[in-house]
Amino acid sequence: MLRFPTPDGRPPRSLVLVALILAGLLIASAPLVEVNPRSLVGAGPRLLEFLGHLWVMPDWSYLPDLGRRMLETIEMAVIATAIALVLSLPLAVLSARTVSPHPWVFALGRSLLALIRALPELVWALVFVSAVGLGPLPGILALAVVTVGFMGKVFAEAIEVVDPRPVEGVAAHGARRWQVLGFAVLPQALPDLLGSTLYVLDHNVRAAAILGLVGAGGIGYDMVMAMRLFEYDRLVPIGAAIWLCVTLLDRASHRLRARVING
Amino acid sequence: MAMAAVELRGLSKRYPSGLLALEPLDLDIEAGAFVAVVGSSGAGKSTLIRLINGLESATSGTVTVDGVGLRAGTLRRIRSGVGMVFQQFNLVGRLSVITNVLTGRLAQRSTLGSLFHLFRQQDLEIAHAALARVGLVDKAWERADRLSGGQQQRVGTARALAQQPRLILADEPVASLDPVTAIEIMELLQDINRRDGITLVVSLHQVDLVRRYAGRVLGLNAGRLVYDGPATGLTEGVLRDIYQRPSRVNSGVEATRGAPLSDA
Repeated sequence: MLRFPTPDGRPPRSLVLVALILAGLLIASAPLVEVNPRSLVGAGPRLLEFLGHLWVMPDWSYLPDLGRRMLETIEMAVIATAIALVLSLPLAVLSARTVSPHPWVFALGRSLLALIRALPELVWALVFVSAVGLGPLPGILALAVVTVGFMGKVFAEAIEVVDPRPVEGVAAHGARRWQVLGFAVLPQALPDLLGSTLYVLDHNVRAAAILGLVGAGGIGYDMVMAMRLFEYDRLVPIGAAIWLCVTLLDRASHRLRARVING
Repeated sequence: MAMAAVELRGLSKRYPSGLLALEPLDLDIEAGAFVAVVGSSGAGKSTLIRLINGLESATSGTVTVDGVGLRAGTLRRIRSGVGMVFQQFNLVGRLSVITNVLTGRLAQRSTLGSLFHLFRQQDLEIAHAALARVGLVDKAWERADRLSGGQQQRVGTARALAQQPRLILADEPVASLDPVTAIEIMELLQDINRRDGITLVVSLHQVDLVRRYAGRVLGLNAGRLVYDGPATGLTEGVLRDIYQRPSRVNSGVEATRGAPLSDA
């Protein structure tokens, strides 16, 4: 007979309770957000019809434009990630429970990061488009802001979970607080910091690809126009280009990560 | 008589859990001594050692190291003159061996330079000499976590040496090592004590190592100092006093609780 490794052989009660509550919440919330099985049934043929449109010969004359737009998209993502990296690291140090100079600073830092994250990229893009005009710059600013909110939190968490023993080892020899940070905390957190940065870069390439929707540069404008004008011979290469870039980036980040972790 | 290297007055430690890890204690450790702290697990050996450099804060009493009282304001100054060797080595595994040794010099370096991991030539020479002392010069540029346990403990010892301390605290320095490596580390510590005249306070599990290397022995039992005397005075009776379980703790033959496991 099969049993769980608990005294009475039954699954842990708290786990069962949580699962039941979650299932109940899901069922209760489905009508609220208009999840209805019937609308999904009707959607099948329409989705197939749309996919059928994609079976076209790409518009080759559009490729040079596509290349330029795609490059702009990637540049936006890279610059935004770099700006955010510089800003998030100090913020993360202030908002990591274990190294924060004061509990109040920690609480303030975390709230600030949550506040920044509260609005999505598109909303920030709208804000910056109205502030600095159309083009890639508002897109970069929007991406950077949201990225700081996310990166700061993830970095802070990476800093909090480093092994405390080396930290004590360096602190016990009279090192100052910032020296302990630079020699014991950050070197240990480095693989996590790098992994998060690469993930964020990946996310930002995809996010930069839709900011054009509100005139904030990148491939997004072309993509939306292609869809509205039913130019499927443009939509297909745009999708393929985004996919290709994200895939290449994924491969590159995988290698870089492996090198840093083992190096 | 010369000033004691370490003076403890009425020093005690009670953890937030209510556990009295160290009963109030008065103690002088003379400069140049090799002092072993013995006792069973949980007797307060680590607590006593970690109170001396402020890794634990005292519940009552005072710690004075080389005439300087331990307070928040003197913490870094005292630590800069006190090396520490840990049971788990506590190296930064991702950094090179030499960088780990150099962290022993951080107390002498400014914050700004260390932000960029910059050191002076003089620091590198001191670190190099420390590595030579522990016989690991050829591993200087390897990552610390690539080394064996015994080698890592040598790096830990070199880090303590690099700060040119007057006192080295060693908290179970050989408890994670095999017997042969343990002897090597103990020989190294003895050599440091004898040749450099650095005071050593070492907590140890193995009575044979205590007899072989220590001059003075502090025996702790359940947070109380039950023996303070020469290593040669460790008779069977004294050892029983040190290692016997306090009567309030059960002898360990308590019946297993919980439902029996059926193999149905």
